[in-house]
Amino acid sequence: MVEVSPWLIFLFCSGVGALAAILGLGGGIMLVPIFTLLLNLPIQQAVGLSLCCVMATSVTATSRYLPDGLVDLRMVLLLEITTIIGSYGAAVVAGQISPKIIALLFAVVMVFSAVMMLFNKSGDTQEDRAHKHGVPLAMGGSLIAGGLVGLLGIGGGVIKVPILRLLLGKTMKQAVAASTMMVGISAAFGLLPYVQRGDIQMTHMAYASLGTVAGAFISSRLFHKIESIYIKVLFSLVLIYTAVNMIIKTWGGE
Amino acid sequence: MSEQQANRSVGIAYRVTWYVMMLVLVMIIVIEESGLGNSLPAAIDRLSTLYMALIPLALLALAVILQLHKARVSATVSFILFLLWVGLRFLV
Repeated sequence: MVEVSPWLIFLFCSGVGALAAILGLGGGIMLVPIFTLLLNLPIQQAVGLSLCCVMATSVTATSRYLPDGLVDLRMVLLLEITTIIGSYGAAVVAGQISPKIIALLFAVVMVFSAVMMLFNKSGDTQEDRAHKHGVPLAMGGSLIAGGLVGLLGIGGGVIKVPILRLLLGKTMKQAVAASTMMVGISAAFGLLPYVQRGDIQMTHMAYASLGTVAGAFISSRLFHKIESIYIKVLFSLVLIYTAVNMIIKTWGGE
Repeated sequence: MSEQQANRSVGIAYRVTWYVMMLVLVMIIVIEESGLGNSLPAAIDRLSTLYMALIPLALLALAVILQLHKARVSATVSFILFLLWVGLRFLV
């Protein structure tokens, strides 16, 4: 177990929480690289800590989305059945997979997220209608999204939001709200194998989770969500740069 | 009762979960920073377990609320998810 100052974890997580709230993201995609590249934590420990933060941000955001009627509870619970299988299964497997493979997968997802952020349409139009086989397809997609949650410690919104929009005909706001609630539940299941393997230091979990929520809370009150394309382009480039760095760091020693 | 009312009730349950979550996290940090962490490792352990169990507990609350709102299928799924978490946490 690598020893890191818990307040350093708190500080970094606050920063990520603040930035994630401004950009309208979950934060997992930023946390794992910070834990591994800056704090030198092993990737399994980083993923476990990221899942703790994801749980905290999910509860925070969901408690706001629910009273507004944005969450289709029936759909969320239905999709959670396969998401949980993916999340728990991937978290169990993560203990057997080489950290290099996890880092490589993470880098691929980071690049994919960066591309999606660059080309994502943020309009809130309702899709014409749900896909004919929308529910089974969405359940299959949720299995993959759950796998990403359990294996990489990210929210998986990059997969879930398009699934909810294109297959189930949800608006952007409804899709984001449902995805946010879902990720908390799947993270709660995905976290279990990491705890059972002893990958996470319990006190670090508290500092990381509280830091993320505190950062998001303060920044959401000080700043409005930024829609500027320049910020998104800059963040996407940072993601791609970090992905390359991650690959070099984990595979460069060969 | 309408879906809107169910959502509002579940929203309240999630809000309560959020407050408990904040309390638990602050308590862990206070115990750790006051130097009691080494003498009270069981307390940290229990609080951490409670933190991890908060979302499943919210699912249990959701099951009760949805049952009250006659959404029986969703309530059952929610309850099964809660039981599944308990099984995986304490039995596996």
